[in-house]
Amino acid sequence: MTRTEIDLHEVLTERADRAPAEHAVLAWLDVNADGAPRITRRRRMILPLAAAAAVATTALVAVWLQTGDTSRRPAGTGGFGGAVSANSTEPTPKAFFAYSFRLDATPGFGVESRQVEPTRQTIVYDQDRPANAIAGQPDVIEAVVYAKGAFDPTTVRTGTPLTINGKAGYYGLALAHVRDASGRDSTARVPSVAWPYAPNSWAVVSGVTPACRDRAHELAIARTVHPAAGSPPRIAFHVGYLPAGLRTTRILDEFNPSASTVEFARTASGNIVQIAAMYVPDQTVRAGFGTDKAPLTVGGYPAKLENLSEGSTIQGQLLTVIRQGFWVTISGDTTVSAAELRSIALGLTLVRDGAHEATWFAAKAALPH
Amino acid sequence: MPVTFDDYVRARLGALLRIATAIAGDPHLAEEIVQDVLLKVARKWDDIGGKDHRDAYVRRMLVNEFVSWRRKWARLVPTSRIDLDAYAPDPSVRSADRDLLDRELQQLPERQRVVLVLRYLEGLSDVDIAAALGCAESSVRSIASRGLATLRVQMATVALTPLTTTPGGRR
Repeated sequence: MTRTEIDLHEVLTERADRAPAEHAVLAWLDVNADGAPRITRRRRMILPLAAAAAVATTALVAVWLQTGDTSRRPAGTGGFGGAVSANSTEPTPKAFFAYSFRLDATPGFGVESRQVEPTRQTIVYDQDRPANAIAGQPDVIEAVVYAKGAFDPTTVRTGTPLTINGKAGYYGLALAHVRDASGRDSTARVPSVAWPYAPNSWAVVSGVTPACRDRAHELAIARTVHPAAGSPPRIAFHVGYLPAGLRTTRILDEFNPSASTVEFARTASGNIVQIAAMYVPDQTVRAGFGTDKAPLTVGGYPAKLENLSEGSTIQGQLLTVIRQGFWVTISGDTTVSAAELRSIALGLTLVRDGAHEATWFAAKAALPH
Repeated sequence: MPVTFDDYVRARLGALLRIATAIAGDPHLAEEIVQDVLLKVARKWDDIGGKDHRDAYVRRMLVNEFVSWRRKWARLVPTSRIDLDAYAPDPSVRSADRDLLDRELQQLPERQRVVLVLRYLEGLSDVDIAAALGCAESSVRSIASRGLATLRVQMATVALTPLTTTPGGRR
């Protein structure tokens, strides 16, 4: 069949007819073209509509970020007393690519999350609850496996000697993450089970909520934690682009709902970028975005960009993208531009099967290092 | 005559999205490209707004952004390539050939695709295309010729009626 220039023109016109709607670009410009002449009243109408649609999700994002971030880890990376200045050391990339423990089954408890930081790895357990339990805060216990030299055992050694997994340990006071009955987190010196799993290397189990803060519970958990080379952390996304100079400083792997959070920083002391992906395929979460008025798209997926503020001070920006059954949030401090957040979002490759964490990316293959 | 950035975007956004989509073959990528270009335009509007040839200037930015975007992201974002051998359209069916032509367009080198879009969709002269690409007019003819040969498009032996475009886009 002969092709002519007219055929070519018609095919190109058909391609052009697939052009996206203008409103998403207008909204993007309205948010990002700071310092430029502002754009149209018509354009401005889009954002309030989107904002109204997003109220529900904004609240959930805030709760989720808090859950995955500092409110559950009250004193920051190095804040757990007993721990020797975790922030004083540079991030050790090797530490992020394999858990340094192996876990036996823990009757009565389930693993809620696992976390990797430069000088320690943390397992958080929720106590199983009967089906007819009254809703409220779950009872929680934590095991922390410290890197060599990262835990000062002076105080805990004044406690009661005991044996854990064949090692001589103690039941004594150690600074740990605690949560009171109202759900408020803090750090306190509480009775804990601690043992040296290797020379100058300690593991510590502490009850986070009062109901778990007893020797029997802590010992039961401690006996299931075996510091040793373990499986790799698995995360829901592959990171294809990061602003220069960032290194991984934390990986959090959460269950129910399945979620991954990774933080990056230029120094060991601050988090500059956080990428999180939570698997929420149900429509109730998506609905908050509004299905037909999304003001932004990133890679063709609905997105929104918000400021992260503390009081009246803007601390950074948060880009949220709903994509492939995941709720992806990328936040950065004020040194990270909206364009960089979007580039990070575009560089992410999400796992194909969000429902099965065992198939997720091994951190070593998924993170720059 | 100077116009405001607001007026410029309102008048040209649809057309820019159409050109970008025709070049990129992907509405989502086109949207990202146009967003980035207009962001840059907005920040330089004091300079660009007063130019007589601002459309040509922005068009050139669009083409550059497309090329640089592809360079930047090719290694980061997996790009699915259509295996033409996997398709066996009936050559006697016109619509099937249109589909095939569309896919073959997508396989063309970027500069060939840009030239064909600007010439056969936008109806630009080779001089204007050369300005958009930052190359000589003779290079434009050469690039177009290679693209047409690859697509097996026969040149008209008589002058075609000037191709019409849709000013400002459809939306």
